[in-house]
Amino acid sequence: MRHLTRVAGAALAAAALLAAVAPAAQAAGAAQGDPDVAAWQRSGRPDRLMVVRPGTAALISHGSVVKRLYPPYGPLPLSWLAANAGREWVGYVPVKAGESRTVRINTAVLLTPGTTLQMGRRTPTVLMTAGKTAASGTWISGSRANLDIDDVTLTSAAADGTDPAPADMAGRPYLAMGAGGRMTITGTEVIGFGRGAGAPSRESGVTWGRTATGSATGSTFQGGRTGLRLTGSTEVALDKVTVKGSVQDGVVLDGDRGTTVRGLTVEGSGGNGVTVGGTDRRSLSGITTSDSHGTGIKATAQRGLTLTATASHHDAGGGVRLVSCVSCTLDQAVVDGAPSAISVSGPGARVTVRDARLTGGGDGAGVALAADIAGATVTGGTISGFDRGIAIGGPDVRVDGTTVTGAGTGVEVYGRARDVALHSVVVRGGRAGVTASATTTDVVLSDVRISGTSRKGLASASEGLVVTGGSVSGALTAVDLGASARLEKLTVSDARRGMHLAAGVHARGQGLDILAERKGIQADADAWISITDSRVRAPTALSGKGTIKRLGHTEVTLPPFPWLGFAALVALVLAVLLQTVHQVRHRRTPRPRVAAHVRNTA
Amino acid sequence: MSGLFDTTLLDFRYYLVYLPLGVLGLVRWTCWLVRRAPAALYRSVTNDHSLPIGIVVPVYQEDPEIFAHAIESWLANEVDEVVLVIDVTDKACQEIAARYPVTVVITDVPGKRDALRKGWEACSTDLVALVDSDTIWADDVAQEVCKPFADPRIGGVGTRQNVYNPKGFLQRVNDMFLDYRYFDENAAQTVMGRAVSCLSGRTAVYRRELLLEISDDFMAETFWGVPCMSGDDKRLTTLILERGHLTYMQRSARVWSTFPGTLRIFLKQRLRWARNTWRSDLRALSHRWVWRHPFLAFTMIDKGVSSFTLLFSPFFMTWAIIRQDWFFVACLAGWWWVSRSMKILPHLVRKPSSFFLVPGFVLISFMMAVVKLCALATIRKQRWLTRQVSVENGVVVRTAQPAGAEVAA
Repeated sequence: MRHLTRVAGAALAAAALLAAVAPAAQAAGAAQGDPDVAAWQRSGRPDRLMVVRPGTAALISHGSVVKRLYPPYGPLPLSWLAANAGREWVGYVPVKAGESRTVRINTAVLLTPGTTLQMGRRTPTVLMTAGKTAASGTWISGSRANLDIDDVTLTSAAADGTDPAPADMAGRPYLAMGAGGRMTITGTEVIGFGRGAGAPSRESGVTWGRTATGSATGSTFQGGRTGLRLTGSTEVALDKVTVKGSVQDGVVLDGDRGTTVRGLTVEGSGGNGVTVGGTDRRSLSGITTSDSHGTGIKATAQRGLTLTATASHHDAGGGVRLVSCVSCTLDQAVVDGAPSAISVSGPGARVTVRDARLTGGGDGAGVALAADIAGATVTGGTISGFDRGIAIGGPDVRVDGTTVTGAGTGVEVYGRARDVALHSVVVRGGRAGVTASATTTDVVLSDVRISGTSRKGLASASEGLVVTGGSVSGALTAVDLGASARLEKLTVSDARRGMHLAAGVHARGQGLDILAERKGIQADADAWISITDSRVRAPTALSGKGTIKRLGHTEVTLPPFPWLGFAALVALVLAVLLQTVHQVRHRRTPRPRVAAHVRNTA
Repeated sequence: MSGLFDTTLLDFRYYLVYLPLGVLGLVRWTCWLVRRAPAALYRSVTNDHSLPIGIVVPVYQEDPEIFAHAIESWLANEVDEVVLVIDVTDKACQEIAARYPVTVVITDVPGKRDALRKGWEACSTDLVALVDSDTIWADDVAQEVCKPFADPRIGGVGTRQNVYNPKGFLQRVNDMFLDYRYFDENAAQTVMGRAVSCLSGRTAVYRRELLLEISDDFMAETFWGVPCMSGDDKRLTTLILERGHLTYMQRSARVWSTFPGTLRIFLKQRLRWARNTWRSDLRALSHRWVWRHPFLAFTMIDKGVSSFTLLFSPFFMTWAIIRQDWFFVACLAGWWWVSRSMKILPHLVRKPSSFFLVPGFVLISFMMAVVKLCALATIRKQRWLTRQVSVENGVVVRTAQPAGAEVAA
């Protein structure tokens, strides 16, 4: 009896325990029992979900499987679903006359491994319903599955018919292909995709996720939150793709591998045109951005990135921005209409800019090299129309063969710049040619040619400046020294004042040829300069209270007389003189006698 | 005081740099001064020499009011005879001519050359003034033009012209061009050898015997096989000089003539003149006689070369504008204004207000250089351009019936 009591007690306890955990156990049991419901739970519990598996498609409404479809094995056309799923899931939009070819998708679609969903010419227009909440929205997602979209216009549509759906709707549709999946988009227009701010990044529009692959060819992505996002994807090809009017960045490449880009155009992005991050040693070419609110192309924390033949037009935040990019190369970049064309910053950054063509109209710099970079090389190319052509604020910078025209300051060396070498740089026009501030050191100019600046050609307060060869012409003051310098074989011409040394500055010149319209060398009090084997030609060749020491075969003369100007003056005077002779000789000539109707008789 | 002088001297040297006279400009200015210097020494001939003088006027499609004024001005000169050679189709001018004591010859041959020949053949005076039908004389023209003929070597005499009551920009500019011509080029040619390159057809006086002598050559002029229709005045002058006679510009004899007021007709007239000048000068420079008048040859070459060099200046201006070198643009524009004003000082003394037209005058000058080059490129074309006659298949023909001709017919 006692034994019986114990057994009954145990049975009751077990029953009570079972009753206590029953709901959870039911759900768990259901999940384990019905993989479609389990998939619904893993997918954020959307109001409606279609789970596509090989040979079957389960329609799940609020967590319950309400219907199962049995499509033929193989790729599943959207047209089959539209014909069989029911209009509240996927169906043709009714039309007044004829056969509808517009399909509306009212459900989230999950593609399970081994499945393929096709959208093609039989469904040329597809509307995907945007919900007011994330759960009521639609999407197509999958892993180790295929999504093929060919020649389709894919548009988000709100329940009230607004097409495309407003960008701030929490349930706007998106496409996302995850692990091992393939998404191929060809000749397609995708309009108004991507969920609002705060949604996970994979829901931002069209996303190739980790290890997903595929391509976008000849397609346009318009008005997405992010136009395209490649996050950890593998070997995705973007060919002749246009991304327009994205709310945030146009294209995000983050941790992707083997991406090939050919003819990517990004227009009017709310953020950056293209954002690049997360992958080392990648090469991208043929990217064109325009009218972005942010930067045209922004690359962050890259190693070995090569950007070739990129173009940026009127991107408000700048053309190309490289942050903490190590061993990166920017080749043949074209930037116009941006306030700042190329900027390099971030600890450890080391960048090479080759043959860039930069045209600006703003108050930024053509090439801005920030103080925290490790080094940079700028070779060839042309820069015109910026407030500063090249702004060097960091160390170990080489500029070789670059032409700067019409910039406020051609090359500005400032901040913590040290070990800066300018070689065969040409600066034309603007206010100042090359300036170096007092905080910089080890600045070397060789064969730098500066011409046509309105104020100063070369202005340096950098201790130990070295100038070898080159020329400065057409400035108010050709060379203005505020710190010690060594100048060799420098030619100065057409300047109002050839060289000026501020008070206390010591400098050395060798093989200088200075031709100035007013003053050759002006040394202020306590300044000291020695010139060796040089020539100074100016109306006032040497002036100021400082010391100018002439060594070797130094020649100091007046400048050549402006004979042509003098000849012009003589010619004018002769003209007046000859007229005077004529007037005197004909002073008694009377007016002609003629009929009164003739008036021109003087 | 010495320091102030030194500073002033330095400033003077400094600002000389900004006078944008290039080497080419220096050459052009030198050529101009070579012309201007003798021109400043010019004087009209003064004596009591007098010869019987007749007037020959080809008349075709003339403004009736101007024509009547012109006849009255010729008669006021008390010339010995006035011969009007009027086109048979021009009934209006025939009616006007009938009001005055003049000889009227009606011609049915189109073209000015034949009318001129008919005129001087009908004339009987020692001197014949070939006059355009819109040219109004001062009261003493006949008296003044006789004076140079006191020298038996003088074969032809020209007068000074101005625009009849100029109105509007183009007529004012034409008046400037005329003063430039009679105070510089023609005056210099008169002083330096009495060989004026062209006695303008508006009024040119010749010895009648010479006209009869050159009559056939005048009528038979061709250029590269095409009979010449316009350029009669240049041809007559050349034929006179060719035969060893001299030509003289008597500036005290003043006449006024009408000039076009629209750019289209202005350009057409200039194109016709430029073609005539190219033809005549190129032909003259290839003959030996012109080198007996070195200054005349120099002015011909100078005029030809200037057609090309004049365009360098606007080229540099355009280049400076493209480079946005506004300082140079301002210097060059100022130089154009001042230097061209200096070159037309005789006109500015006469009409100071024209100083404000000088920029326009400069631009028209550049346009004329282009016109001259176009004329050189189309040198064989024979069209009057401002009248309805042309040379077709080697014969001067009317290209349209004048207004009223059909009714008259």
